[in-house]
Amino acid sequence: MTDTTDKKTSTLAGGRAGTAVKPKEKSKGLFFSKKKQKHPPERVLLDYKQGHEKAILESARAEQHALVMNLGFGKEGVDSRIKKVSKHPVLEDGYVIETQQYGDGTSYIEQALSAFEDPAIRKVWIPLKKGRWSYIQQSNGYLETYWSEFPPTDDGVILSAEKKTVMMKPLFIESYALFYISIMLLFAGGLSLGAAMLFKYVVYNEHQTMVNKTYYTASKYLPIETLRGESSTETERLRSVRYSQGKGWHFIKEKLSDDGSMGQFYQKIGANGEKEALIQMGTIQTNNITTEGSK
Amino acid sequence: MRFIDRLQLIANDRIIIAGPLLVISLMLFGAAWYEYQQPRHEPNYDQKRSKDIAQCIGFSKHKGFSSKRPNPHLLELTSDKFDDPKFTFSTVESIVLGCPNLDLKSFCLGVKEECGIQGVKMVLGYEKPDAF
Repeated sequence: MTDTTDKKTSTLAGGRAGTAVKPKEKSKGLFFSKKKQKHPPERVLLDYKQGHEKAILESARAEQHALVMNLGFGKEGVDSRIKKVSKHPVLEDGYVIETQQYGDGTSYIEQALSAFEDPAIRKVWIPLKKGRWSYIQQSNGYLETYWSEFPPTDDGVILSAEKKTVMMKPLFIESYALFYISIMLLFAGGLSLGAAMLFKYVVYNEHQTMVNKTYYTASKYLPIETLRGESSTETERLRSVRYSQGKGWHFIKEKLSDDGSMGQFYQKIGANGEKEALIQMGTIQTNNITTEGSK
Repeated sequence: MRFIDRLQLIANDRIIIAGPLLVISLMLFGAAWYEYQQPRHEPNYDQKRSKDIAQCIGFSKHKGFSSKRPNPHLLELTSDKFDDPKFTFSTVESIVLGCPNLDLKSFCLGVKEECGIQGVKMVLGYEKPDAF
Protein backbone atom coordinates (compact mmCIF):
# COMPACT_ATOMS: atom_id res chain seq x y z
CA MET A 1 0.00 0.00 0.00
CA THR A 2 1.28 3.41 -0.90
CA ASP A 3 0.36 6.66 0.75
CA THR A 4 0.17 9.05 -2.18
CA THR A 5 -2.06 11.55 -0.48
CA ASP A 6 0.46 14.36 -0.34
CA LYS A 7 1.08 14.16 -4.05
CA LYS A 8 -2.61 14.04 -4.97
CA THR A 9 -3.76 16.84 -2.76
CA SER A 10 -0.99 19.06 -3.94
CA THR A 11 -2.57 18.97 -7.39
CA LEU A 12 -5.85 19.99 -5.81
CA ALA A 13 -4.27 23.05 -4.34
CA GLY A 14 -3.81 24.20 -7.93
CA GLY A 15 -7.45 25.16 -8.03
CA ARG A 16 -9.40 22.12 -9.24
CA ALA A 17 -11.83 22.47 -6.39
CA GLY A 18 -13.72 25.44 -7.73
CA THR A 19 -15.68 26.17 -4.57
CA ALA A 20 -12.88 25.56 -2.14
CA VAL A 21 -13.48 27.36 1.10
CA LYS A 22 -11.01 27.50 3.86
CA PRO A 23 -12.68 25.98 6.90
CA LYS A 24 -12.69 27.92 10.11
CA GLU A 25 -9.71 27.06 12.16
CA LYS A 26 -10.83 28.92 15.22
CA SER A 27 -14.17 29.98 16.52
CA LYS A 28 -14.18 32.59 19.24
CA GLY A 29 -16.42 32.06 22.22
CA LEU A 30 -17.46 34.68 24.74
CA PHE A 31 -14.72 33.96 27.24
CA PHE A 32 -12.32 31.74 25.35
CA SER A 33 -11.28 30.61 21.91
CA LYS A 34 -11.47 27.01 20.90
CA LYS A 35 -9.67 25.53 17.97
CA LYS A 36 -11.79 23.56 15.52
CA GLN A 37 -9.70 20.58 14.64
CA LYS A 38 -9.94 18.45 11.56
CA HIS A 39 -10.73 14.89 12.36
CA PRO A 40 -11.98 11.79 10.57
CA PRO A 41 -15.71 11.18 10.46
CA GLU A 42 -17.52 8.32 12.11
CA ARG A 43 -19.00 7.19 8.81
CA VAL A 44 -18.45 8.19 5.20
CA LEU A 45 -20.15 7.22 1.96
CA LEU A 46 -19.15 8.13 -1.59
CA ASP A 47 -21.50 7.38 -4.45
CA TYR A 48 -21.48 8.20 -8.14
CA LYS A 49 -24.29 8.80 -10.64
CA GLN A 50 -23.57 8.99 -14.33
CA GLY A 51 -25.09 11.83 -16.37
CA HIS A 52 -25.60 15.55 -15.88
CA GLU A 53 -29.36 15.67 -16.31
CA LYS A 54 -31.39 17.48 -13.67
CA ALA A 55 -33.43 14.34 -13.05
CA ILE A 56 -30.25 12.47 -12.13
CA LEU A 57 -29.29 15.14 -9.61
CA GLU A 58 -32.75 15.06 -8.07
CA SER A 59 -32.69 11.28 -7.98
CA ALA A 60 -29.23 11.36 -6.37
CA ARG A 61 -30.49 13.66 -3.62
CA ALA A 62 -33.54 11.50 -2.98
CA GLU A 63 -31.45 8.32 -2.92
CA GLN A 64 -28.98 9.92 -0.54
CA HIS A 65 -31.77 10.68 1.93
CA ALA A 66 -33.24 7.21 1.57
CA LEU A 67 -29.84 5.55 1.99
CA VAL A 68 -29.02 7.52 5.12
CA MET A 69 -32.37 6.61 6.65
CA ASN A 70 -32.07 2.95 5.64
CA LEU A 71 -28.55 2.64 7.05
CA GLY A 72 -29.72 4.09 10.34
CA PHE A 73 -27.48 7.15 10.39
CA GLY A 74 -30.12 9.21 12.10
CA LYS A 75 -30.27 12.91 11.34
CA GLU A 76 -27.70 14.20 13.74
CA GLY A 77 -24.32 15.30 12.42
CA VAL A 78 -24.93 14.16 8.83
CA ASP A 79 -23.23 16.31 6.22
CA SER A 80 -23.64 16.08 2.48
CA ARG A 81 -22.06 17.28 -0.70
CA ILE A 82 -22.75 16.63 -4.37
CA LYS A 83 -20.08 17.53 -6.87
CA LYS A 84 -20.49 17.65 -10.62
CA VAL A 85 -17.78 15.67 -12.37
CA SER A 86 -16.69 16.70 -15.84
CA LYS A 87 -13.82 15.63 -18.06
CA HIS A 88 -12.46 13.13 -15.56
CA PRO A 89 -9.99 10.70 -17.19
CA VAL A 90 -11.63 7.65 -15.63
CA LEU A 91 -15.16 8.56 -14.59
CA GLU A 92 -17.80 9.60 -17.10
CA ASP A 93 -19.53 12.96 -16.62
CA GLY A 94 -21.83 12.72 -13.64
CA TYR A 95 -22.21 13.52 -9.96
CA VAL A 96 -20.23 12.31 -6.95
CA ILE A 97 -22.31 12.22 -3.79
CA GLU A 98 -20.61 12.28 -0.42
CA THR A 99 -22.23 11.68 2.95
CA GLN A 100 -20.44 11.91 6.27
CA GLN A 101 -21.54 11.58 9.87
CA TYR A 102 -19.85 13.30 12.80
CA GLY A 103 -17.09 14.61 10.58
CA ASP A 104 -15.48 18.02 10.67
CA GLY A 105 -17.69 19.31 7.84
CA THR A 106 -15.09 19.07 5.07
CA SER A 107 -15.19 16.88 1.99
CA TYR A 108 -13.04 14.04 0.64
CA ILE A 109 -14.37 14.30 -2.92
CA GLU A 110 -11.46 16.28 -4.38
CA GLN A 111 -8.88 13.91 -2.92
CA ALA A 112 -10.78 10.85 -4.13
CA LEU A 113 -11.30 12.20 -7.66
CA SER A 114 -7.69 13.22 -7.86
CA ALA A 115 -6.59 9.76 -6.76
CA PHE A 116 -8.83 8.03 -9.30
CA GLU A 117 -7.35 10.06 -12.14
CA ASP A 118 -4.71 7.37 -12.22
CA PRO A 119 -6.43 4.34 -13.82
CA ALA A 120 -4.13 2.04 -11.88
CA ILE A 121 -5.61 3.17 -8.58
CA ARG A 122 -8.82 1.28 -7.93
CA LYS A 123 -9.27 1.89 -4.25
CA VAL A 124 -8.97 4.77 -1.78
CA TRP A 125 -9.04 4.37 2.00
CA ILE A 126 -10.54 6.84 4.42
CA PRO A 127 -9.74 6.50 8.12
CA LEU A 128 -12.76 6.65 10.41
CA LYS A 129 -13.09 7.16 14.13
CA LYS A 130 -12.42 4.32 16.55
CA GLY A 131 -9.84 2.74 14.24
CA ARG A 132 -12.36 1.79 11.56
CA TRP A 133 -11.86 2.30 7.85
CA SER A 134 -13.94 2.99 4.80
CA TYR A 135 -12.75 2.24 1.30
CA ILE A 136 -14.08 3.50 -1.99
CA GLN A 137 -13.63 1.14 -4.88
CA GLN A 138 -13.67 2.21 -8.49
CA SER A 139 -14.75 -0.50 -10.89
CA ASN A 140 -15.69 0.08 -14.51
CA GLY A 141 -16.18 3.77 -13.94
CA TYR A 142 -18.45 3.40 -10.90
CA LEU A 143 -17.75 4.02 -7.21
CA GLU A 144 -18.74 1.75 -4.36
CA THR A 145 -18.20 2.31 -0.66
CA TYR A 146 -17.35 -0.39 1.88
CA TRP A 147 -16.68 -0.21 5.60
CA SER A 148 -13.98 -2.26 7.19
CA GLU A 149 -12.92 -3.06 10.73
CA PHE A 150 -9.42 -3.85 9.48
CA PRO A 151 -6.65 -1.50 8.40
CA PRO A 152 -5.67 -1.16 4.72
CA THR A 153 -3.65 -4.11 3.45
CA ASP A 154 -3.54 -3.59 -0.32
CA ASP A 155 -2.13 -0.85 -2.55
CA GLY A 156 -4.95 1.69 -2.28
CA VAL A 157 -4.48 5.40 -1.52
CA ILE A 158 -5.10 6.68 1.98
CA LEU A 159 -6.92 10.00 2.06
CA SER A 160 -6.03 12.42 4.80
CA ALA A 161 -8.48 14.36 6.94
CA GLU A 162 -5.93 17.17 7.20
CA LYS A 163 -5.97 17.77 3.43
CA LYS A 164 -9.67 18.42 3.11
CA THR A 165 -10.64 21.94 2.12
CA VAL A 166 -14.16 22.14 0.72
CA MET A 167 -17.01 22.56 3.18
CA MET A 168 -20.06 20.29 3.17
CA LYS A 169 -23.60 21.17 4.09
CA PRO A 170 -25.83 19.57 6.69
CA LEU A 171 -28.03 16.97 4.98
CA PHE A 172 -30.96 17.42 7.31
CA ILE A 173 -31.99 20.96 7.88
CA GLU A 174 -34.16 21.30 10.93
CA SER A 175 -34.69 25.07 10.87
CA TYR A 176 -38.02 25.14 9.13
CA ALA A 177 -39.60 27.75 11.39
CA LEU A 178 -40.05 30.40 8.69
CA PHE A 179 -41.38 27.81 6.26
CA TYR A 180 -43.92 26.50 8.77
CA ILE A 181 -44.90 30.04 9.78
CA SER A 182 -45.47 31.00 6.15
CA ILE A 183 -47.69 27.94 5.60
CA MET A 184 -49.63 28.68 8.79
CA LEU A 185 -50.06 32.31 7.78
CA LEU A 186 -51.23 31.22 4.35
CA PHE A 187 -53.91 29.04 5.91
CA ALA A 188 -54.83 31.76 8.39
CA GLY A 189 -55.08 34.32 5.57
CA GLY A 190 -57.23 31.97 3.50
CA LEU A 191 -59.47 31.29 6.48
CA SER A 192 -59.78 35.01 7.23
CA LEU A 193 -60.77 35.80 3.68
CA GLY A 194 -63.19 32.87 3.60
CA ALA A 195 -64.75 33.98 6.87
CA ALA A 196 -65.00 37.59 5.67
CA MET A 197 -66.70 36.54 2.45
CA LEU A 198 -69.00 34.14 4.30
CA PHE A 199 -70.01 36.95 6.62
CA LYS A 200 -70.47 39.47 3.81
CA TYR A 201 -72.28 37.32 1.27
CA VAL A 202 -74.13 34.78 3.42
CA VAL A 203 -74.62 35.95 7.00
CA TYR A 204 -75.01 39.71 6.58
CA ASN A 205 -75.84 39.78 2.86
CA GLU A 206 -77.06 43.36 2.52
CA HIS A 207 -76.63 45.91 -0.21
CA GLN A 208 -75.43 49.42 0.45
CA THR A 209 -78.14 52.03 0.73
CA MET A 210 -78.02 54.73 -1.92
CA VAL A 211 -78.82 58.30 -1.00
CA ASN A 212 -80.26 60.52 -3.72
CA LYS A 213 -78.50 63.80 -4.29
CA THR A 214 -79.89 67.04 -5.63
CA TYR A 215 -77.45 69.24 -7.48
CA TYR A 216 -79.63 72.35 -7.56
CA THR A 217 -77.35 74.51 -5.43
CA ALA A 218 -77.08 78.30 -5.06
CA SER A 219 -74.67 78.67 -7.97
CA LYS A 220 -77.24 77.07 -10.25
CA TYR A 221 -80.41 78.82 -9.13
CA LEU A 222 -82.27 80.02 -12.20
CA PRO A 223 -82.11 83.83 -12.42
CA ILE A 224 -85.88 84.32 -12.49
CA GLU A 225 -85.87 87.73 -10.82
CA THR A 226 -83.12 88.99 -13.08
CA LEU A 227 -85.04 87.84 -16.09
CA ARG A 228 -88.14 89.55 -14.78
CA GLY A 229 -86.26 92.85 -14.86
CA GLU A 230 -85.27 92.36 -18.50
CA SER A 231 -87.13 94.19 -21.23
CA SER A 232 -86.45 94.68 -24.90
CA THR A 233 -86.04 98.13 -26.35
CA GLU A 234 -85.59 99.41 -29.90
CA THR A 235 -81.81 99.29 -29.51
CA GLU A 236 -81.27 96.33 -27.20
CA ARG A 237 -82.82 92.88 -27.25
CA LEU A 238 -82.30 89.62 -25.34
CA ARG A 239 -81.44 86.74 -27.65
CA SER A 240 -80.97 83.94 -25.12
CA VAL A 241 -80.56 83.03 -21.48
CA ARG A 242 -77.86 80.44 -21.07
CA TYR A 243 -76.09 78.35 -18.51
CA SER A 244 -72.94 76.30 -18.81
CA GLN A 245 -70.82 74.76 -16.07
CA GLY A 246 -67.82 76.85 -17.04
CA LYS A 247 -69.48 80.25 -17.42
CA GLY A 248 -72.52 79.99 -15.16
CA TRP A 249 -75.69 81.96 -16.02
CA HIS A 250 -75.39 84.64 -18.66
CA PHE A 251 -77.42 86.55 -21.24
CA ILE A 252 -76.66 86.82 -24.92
CA LYS A 253 -77.93 90.17 -26.19
CA GLU A 254 -77.94 92.15 -29.42
CA LYS A 255 -77.54 95.90 -29.34
CA LEU A 256 -77.73 98.56 -32.01
CA SER A 257 -74.68 100.81 -32.09
CA ASP A 258 -74.54 104.47 -33.02
CA ASP A 259 -73.01 103.62 -36.42
CA GLY A 260 -76.02 101.45 -37.23
CA SER A 261 -74.34 98.06 -36.85
CA MET A 262 -75.83 95.38 -34.63
CA GLY A 263 -73.46 94.03 -32.01
CA GLN A 264 -73.67 90.75 -30.07
CA PHE A 265 -72.93 90.98 -26.35
CA TYR A 266 -72.32 88.66 -23.45
CA GLN A 267 -73.56 89.60 -19.99
CA LYS A 268 -72.73 87.44 -17.00
CA ILE A 269 -75.22 87.11 -14.16
CA GLY A 270 -73.59 87.05 -10.77
CA ALA A 271 -74.38 84.74 -7.86
CA ASN A 272 -76.80 87.27 -6.35
CA GLY A 273 -78.57 87.89 -9.62
CA GLU A 274 -76.81 91.18 -10.40
CA LYS A 275 -75.90 91.74 -14.03
CA GLU A 276 -72.31 92.45 -14.96
CA ALA A 277 -71.15 94.75 -17.74
CA LEU A 278 -71.83 93.88 -21.37
CA ILE A 279 -68.92 92.38 -23.24
CA GLN A 280 -69.02 92.57 -27.01
CA MET A 281 -68.54 89.26 -28.72
CA GLY A 282 -69.02 90.22 -32.36
CA THR A 283 -71.31 91.96 -34.82
CA ILE A 284 -74.49 90.83 -36.49
CA GLN A 285 -74.77 91.96 -40.10
CA THR A 286 -78.22 91.50 -41.60
CA ASN A 287 -78.83 87.78 -41.15
CA ASN A 288 -75.20 86.74 -40.69
CA ILE A 289 -73.99 86.47 -37.15
CA THR A 290 -70.32 86.83 -36.37
CA THR A 291 -69.47 85.59 -32.90
CA GLU A 292 -66.31 85.01 -30.97
CA GLY A 293 -66.35 82.44 -28.22
CA SER A 294 -70.02 82.74 -27.41
CA LYS A 295 -70.66 79.01 -26.97
CA MET B 1 -41.39 8.58 2.65
CA ARG B 2 -42.64 10.56 5.62
CA PHE B 3 -43.58 14.23 5.36
CA ILE B 4 -40.56 15.37 7.38
CA ASP B 5 -38.25 13.44 5.04
CA ARG B 6 -39.90 14.89 1.97
CA LEU B 7 -39.28 18.33 3.39
CA GLN B 8 -35.55 17.61 3.23
CA LEU B 9 -35.81 17.58 -0.55
CA ILE B 10 -36.77 21.27 -0.44
CA ALA B 11 -34.41 22.09 2.41
CA ASN B 12 -32.27 24.44 0.37
CA ASP B 13 -35.27 26.16 -1.16
CA ARG B 14 -37.30 26.62 2.00
CA ILE B 15 -36.63 30.36 2.26
CA ILE B 16 -37.37 30.85 -1.45
CA ILE B 17 -40.67 29.01 -1.00
CA ALA B 18 -41.52 30.81 2.26
CA GLY B 19 -41.11 34.28 0.71
CA PRO B 20 -43.92 34.05 -1.87
CA LEU B 21 -46.12 32.22 0.66
CA LEU B 22 -45.70 35.12 3.09
CA VAL B 23 -46.53 37.64 0.35
CA ILE B 24 -49.65 35.67 -0.64
CA SER B 25 -50.63 35.45 3.04
CA LEU B 26 -50.35 39.22 3.40
CA MET B 27 -52.49 39.70 0.30
CA LEU B 28 -55.11 37.33 1.70
CA PHE B 29 -55.15 39.19 5.03
CA GLY B 30 -55.42 42.50 3.14
CA ALA B 31 -58.34 41.22 1.08
CA ALA B 32 -60.04 39.89 4.23
CA TRP B 33 -59.56 43.25 5.95
CA TYR B 34 -61.06 45.03 2.93
CA GLU B 35 -64.09 42.71 2.99
CA TYR B 36 -64.59 43.24 6.73
CA GLN B 37 -64.37 46.99 6.27
CA GLN B 38 -67.10 46.98 3.63
CA PRO B 39 -69.58 44.37 4.80
CA ARG B 40 -72.38 45.54 2.50
CA HIS B 41 -72.48 44.70 -1.20
CA GLU B 42 -71.97 47.45 -3.69
CA PRO B 43 -75.35 48.55 -5.08
CA ASN B 44 -76.38 48.14 -8.70
CA TYR B 45 -75.62 51.62 -10.01
CA ASP B 46 -76.67 50.83 -13.57
CA GLN B 47 -80.10 49.78 -12.46
CA LYS B 48 -80.45 52.88 -10.30
CA ARG B 49 -79.35 55.15 -13.14
CA SER B 50 -81.86 53.62 -15.55
CA LYS B 51 -84.59 54.00 -12.95
CA ASP B 52 -83.74 57.64 -12.13
CA ILE B 53 -83.47 58.68 -15.76
CA ALA B 54 -86.73 56.92 -16.66
CA GLN B 55 -88.45 58.74 -13.80
CA CYS B 56 -86.99 62.07 -14.97
CA ILE B 57 -88.10 61.45 -18.54
CA GLY B 58 -91.61 60.69 -17.31
CA PHE B 59 -91.73 63.84 -15.20
CA SER B 60 -90.32 66.13 -17.89
CA LYS B 61 -92.79 64.69 -20.41
CA HIS B 62 -95.55 65.58 -17.97
CA LYS B 63 -94.16 69.13 -17.98
CA GLY B 64 -94.19 69.29 -21.76
CA PHE B 65 -90.58 68.45 -22.60
CA SER B 66 -89.27 66.02 -25.17
CA SER B 67 -86.31 63.90 -24.22
CA LYS B 68 -83.29 62.40 -25.92
CA ARG B 69 -80.32 60.43 -24.52
CA PRO B 70 -77.08 61.27 -26.35
CA ASN B 71 -75.35 58.69 -24.14
CA PRO B 72 -76.38 56.60 -21.11
CA HIS B 73 -75.26 59.33 -18.69
CA LEU B 74 -76.82 62.34 -20.38
CA LEU B 75 -80.41 63.44 -20.84
CA GLU B 76 -81.32 66.20 -23.27
CA LEU B 77 -84.68 67.88 -22.73
CA THR B 78 -86.23 70.29 -25.22
CA SER B 79 -89.43 72.29 -25.46
CA ASP B 80 -90.60 74.76 -28.08
CA LYS B 81 -93.15 76.37 -25.78
CA PHE B 82 -91.75 79.84 -25.33
CA ASP B 83 -94.72 81.98 -24.48
CA ASP B 84 -93.85 82.99 -20.92
CA PRO B 85 -90.17 82.82 -19.93
CA LYS B 86 -90.95 83.14 -16.23
CA PHE B 87 -93.40 80.28 -16.34
CA THR B 88 -90.87 78.27 -18.35
CA PHE B 89 -88.22 78.98 -15.72
CA SER B 90 -90.46 77.66 -12.97
CA THR B 91 -91.13 74.54 -15.00
CA VAL B 92 -87.40 74.04 -15.60
CA GLU B 93 -86.72 74.53 -11.90
CA SER B 94 -89.30 71.90 -11.01
CA ILE B 95 -87.68 69.43 -13.42
CA VAL B 96 -84.21 70.06 -12.01
CA LEU B 97 -85.55 69.54 -8.51
CA GLY B 98 -87.69 66.58 -9.50
CA CYS B 99 -84.83 64.65 -11.09
CA PRO B 100 -82.57 63.33 -8.31
CA ASN B 101 -78.94 62.53 -9.15
CA LEU B 102 -79.15 64.57 -12.36
CA ASP B 103 -77.08 67.69 -12.58
CA LEU B 104 -77.76 70.64 -14.89
CA LYS B 105 -74.91 70.72 -17.39
CA SER B 106 -76.17 73.31 -19.84
CA PHE B 107 -79.24 75.39 -20.46
CA CYS B 108 -80.38 77.61 -23.29
CA LEU B 109 -83.58 79.57 -23.56
CA GLY B 110 -83.81 81.67 -26.67
CA VAL B 111 -83.88 81.91 -30.41
CA LYS B 112 -83.00 79.10 -32.78
CA GLU B 113 -79.70 80.68 -33.86
CA GLU B 114 -78.50 80.56 -30.26
CA CYS B 115 -80.00 77.35 -28.87
CA GLY B 116 -80.53 75.21 -31.95
CA ILE B 117 -84.21 75.29 -31.15
CA GLN B 118 -86.69 78.10 -30.73
CA GLY B 119 -87.51 77.49 -27.07
CA VAL B 120 -85.72 75.68 -24.26
CA LYS B 121 -82.97 73.14 -24.45
CA MET B 122 -81.15 71.74 -21.45
CA VAL B 123 -78.80 68.88 -20.77
CA LEU B 124 -78.76 66.96 -17.49
CA GLY B 125 -75.92 64.65 -16.57
CA TYR B 126 -76.25 61.65 -14.29
CA GLU B 127 -74.05 61.58 -11.17
CA LYS B 128 -73.55 58.42 -9.15
CA PRO B 129 -75.37 58.67 -5.82
CA ASP B 130 -73.55 58.12 -2.53
CA ALA B 131 -73.90 54.65 -1.03
CA PHE B 132 -73.38 53.59 2.59
